[in-house]
Amino acid sequence: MVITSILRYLLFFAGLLLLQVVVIDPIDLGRFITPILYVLLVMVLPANIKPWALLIISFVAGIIADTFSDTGGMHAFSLVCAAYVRNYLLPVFLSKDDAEKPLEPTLFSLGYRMFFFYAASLTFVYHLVFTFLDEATLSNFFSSMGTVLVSTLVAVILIFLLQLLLYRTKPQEA
Amino acid sequence: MRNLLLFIARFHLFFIFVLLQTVSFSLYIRQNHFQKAIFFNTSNQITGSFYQGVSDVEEYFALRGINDKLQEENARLRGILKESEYIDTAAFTLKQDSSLRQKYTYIPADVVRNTVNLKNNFLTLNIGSNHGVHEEMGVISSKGVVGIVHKVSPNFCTVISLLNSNIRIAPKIDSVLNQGSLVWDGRSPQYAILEDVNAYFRIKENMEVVTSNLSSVFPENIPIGVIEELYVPSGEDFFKIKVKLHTNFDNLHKVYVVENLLKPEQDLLEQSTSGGNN
Repeated sequence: MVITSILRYLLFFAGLLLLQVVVIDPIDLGRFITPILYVLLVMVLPANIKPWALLIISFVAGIIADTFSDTGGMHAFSLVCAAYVRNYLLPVFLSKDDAEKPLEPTLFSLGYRMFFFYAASLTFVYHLVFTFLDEATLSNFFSSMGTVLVSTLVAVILIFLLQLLLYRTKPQEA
Repeated sequence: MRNLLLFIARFHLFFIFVLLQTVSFSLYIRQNHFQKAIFFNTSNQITGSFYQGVSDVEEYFALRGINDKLQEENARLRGILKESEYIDTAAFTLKQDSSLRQKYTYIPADVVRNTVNLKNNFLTLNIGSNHGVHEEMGVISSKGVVGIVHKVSPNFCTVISLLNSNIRIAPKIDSVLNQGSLVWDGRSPQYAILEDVNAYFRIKENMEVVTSNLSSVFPENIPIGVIEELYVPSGEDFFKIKVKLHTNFDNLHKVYVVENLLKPEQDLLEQSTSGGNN
């Protein structure tokens, strides 16, 4: 059971990586729109995963992503930040019972509205950290914030589309 | 001691967080400097072969454009062959071929990966130390300057793109003026900024910017771009110059790595000279 779910998440991450570096990165949306979807992995790991395991998994995933895009630690740093935030954020969206089940926090298990806030906050944290690491300065603060907001918006839309595509079950009653 | 352990156990999550962030951050810091190859970049065998496969497919669809560009370049090179010239002076001149020796050689390469949407962009090429590539060699395309080799593995290398905030290239303006340095401001992949050019030089729009003879990385007179916009900000002594780059980084497939055969000698000399001063 554990093995199959580990395998499932490995495949999921491989797919995400492929989507990012082969499809999304080569699309030139302009210098200031750079949606990055790796944070989706951090989002959908089961609710009852040990917080330290979540951190380690995001770190490893980030390092792999960095290796594929020559971003030396930037993806790892941002993903671990997002994972750290998730540990405190997810309980807000779940009842105490759900938080101890191996529930996958998806569009359908959380409901559209809840998932939107959950996804938007994590994606925002991710792009905030990533963009400022990339810029390596605060001097273009407002244009950087613009990048963060637009990229977050595009990434959230893509994440919604992906979720609709991947999970064909009906939304649960929240 | 027991209290310390309890403290660590209680806040273990925070400590793991700090530990992981320290590791990531040190990788991030080291990325921005020339240094020995480490595994975590696209020059390693696994990611290199992966991108090679992807680019093999992509390149197939771009073949027409690639052929056009190569033909254009061939035509330009044919134009400067000796056979295309004639002697237009009655005076007898002696051209001593034996006094010329090769300084630069070119290694052809395919771009297997390229980004333009970060502040520090890198390319990956499908040649490495097995093909004679070393760190800090120049990379050019048929149109102009592309970047400088960063890290090298046996079969791949990564290149610091001109679109990277850590690159500075010595330019020559209008084929004569060795002034300033060319950097990328992280905005558009089509434009770079020429800095530190004193405002008393007579520089105009549409002047060509090429590589300087002061660089040991690029041959002289490799095109970089053309001046599109310039002004002197009030109260300053230096121009603000916007250069339209010749190389189209969105669509880059075939490049050449430049080997300067005299660079080891020059580097050795310069090292021993500066070493003597310190």
